[in-house]
Amino acid sequence: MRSRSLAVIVPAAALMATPVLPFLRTGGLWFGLPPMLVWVVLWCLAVTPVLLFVERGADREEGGA
Amino acid sequence: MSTTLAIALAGMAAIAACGMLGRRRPSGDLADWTVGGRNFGAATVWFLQAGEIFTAFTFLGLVGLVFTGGVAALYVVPYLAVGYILLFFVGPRIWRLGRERGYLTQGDFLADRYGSRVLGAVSAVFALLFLFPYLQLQITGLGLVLELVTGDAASGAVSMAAGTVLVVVFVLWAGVRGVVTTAYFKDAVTLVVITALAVVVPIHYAGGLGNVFERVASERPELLTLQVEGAGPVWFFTSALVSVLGFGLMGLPFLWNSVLSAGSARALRRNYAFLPLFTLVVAFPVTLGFTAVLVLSQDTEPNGSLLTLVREMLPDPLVGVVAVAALTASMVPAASMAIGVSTLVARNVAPVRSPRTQFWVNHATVVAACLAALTLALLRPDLLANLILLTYAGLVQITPAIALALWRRRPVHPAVVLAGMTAGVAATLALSTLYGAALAGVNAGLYGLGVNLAVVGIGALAERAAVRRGARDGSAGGAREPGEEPESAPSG
Repeated sequence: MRSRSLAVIVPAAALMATPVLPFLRTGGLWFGLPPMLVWVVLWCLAVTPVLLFVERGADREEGGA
Repeated sequence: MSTTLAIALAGMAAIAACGMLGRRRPSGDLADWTVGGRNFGAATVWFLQAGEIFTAFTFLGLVGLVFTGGVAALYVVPYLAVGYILLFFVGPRIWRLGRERGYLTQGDFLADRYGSRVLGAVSAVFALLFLFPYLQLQITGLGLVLELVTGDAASGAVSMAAGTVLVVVFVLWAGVRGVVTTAYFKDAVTLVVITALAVVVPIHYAGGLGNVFERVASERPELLTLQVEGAGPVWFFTSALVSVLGFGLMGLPFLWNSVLSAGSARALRRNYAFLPLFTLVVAFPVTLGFTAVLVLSQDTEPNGSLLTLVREMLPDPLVGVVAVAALTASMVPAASMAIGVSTLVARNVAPVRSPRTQFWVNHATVVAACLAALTLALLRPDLLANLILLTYAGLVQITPAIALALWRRRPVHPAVVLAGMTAGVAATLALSTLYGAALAGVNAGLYGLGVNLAVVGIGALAERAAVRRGARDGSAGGAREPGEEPESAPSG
């Protein structure tokens, strides 16, 4: 589980970096929506598969223990 | 009585009835009342935890925050999603320790891990200081909802009084099991209502969501680029960071009930993996907030903007249904907070040790805390306004103590974390009194956390130096070795 856990850094960093990414603050729209809204929704959706990937590792460790 | 008020009061009674149905059997056991025997399945814990995030703030406050600050309100999504990532690792660890050592509260955990009942008591007092205004906010929310949808201040007062009494009754009767059954009702109603509103409101007022954002981009572009004064990138990042730490490291005392009531660590991990999907529901109030920007005058009360939109658009019976959804978003979190407050008092603050006495102190505290919150909400609704802004900023000061204790038992002397926590709370309160909730755009809680961590770091170094000196001198009276076993464990 430990090495798999590192995968969570990617969505966590992307979400926390939201206010400082210049391409999200141009004033334009993506698909008719504010870029910041699209960005946080997509990365929020990515959190679930990443955590399930880590969870599979935890399940294997518990099953093998 | 208007149709809207009648439907809203009937909805409140239905919520309380759901709560009463949660009771399994007469119980004089505080552990069963608080954490339901620690055997809730994954679905039950999911509803409990999902219910905790959908409060009056999410329903009314988030729309208001968009109305004044635009996309800055989106800080809520990163804070919840990253908070769940932290909880995915922290929650199962606390669950295991809680099961082994019989914890019912955050204070139990700190008292046991550091071997210091004083630390448990002081942390509980700080937690109560910052949690009580949050409880009052939920009760104030009950009044605000009906006042706005009926246009009658007396209806607001009736709603607050009725809602508080009903919460007290079902919480005393059924404990955490009552919160679970109301959470089923609440999550279903709020999800349906907020989804429907997110579709219907933009169509009614602007011809669709696409038109809303096109008009905002041309008429109020500063709302899409974090250029509103007081709601810029620094405010966004620091507010998200303080909230992530307070939420993800279990700084909020009422989060402990749902974690400790789970039947397995796997159930918790599964929930934390799927809860970010539910978090996306908070994007709906954001779209409603942008519609309000286009429709309402800028002097509209921000927290009332959603209900103002709804009142002017829907017939009375449907306004009543929306009011019920908003009321559930106040009553159910208020019930969780009442349990959080009462168990902290009974287990960690009141000088009582007998389980039976703790049970009755707990129940008396539920009544006293809810009535005190109602009295303040009716008589002095603004008295605690500053503390409400500081709920997360204050509660985050407890998280260094929690994080260190997850790592090992008694990682530093309890006096060190106590000094850090006290210094952090004092700095946060002082700064917020002088400069407001943010100084130079930075959340006041982060300054306090800096002071807190500095004190803990210096104290830990001093402790290690004293241990080395004691070992060199062969002194038996030196400081205890970090990691030494505490002398007692809590019961329950």
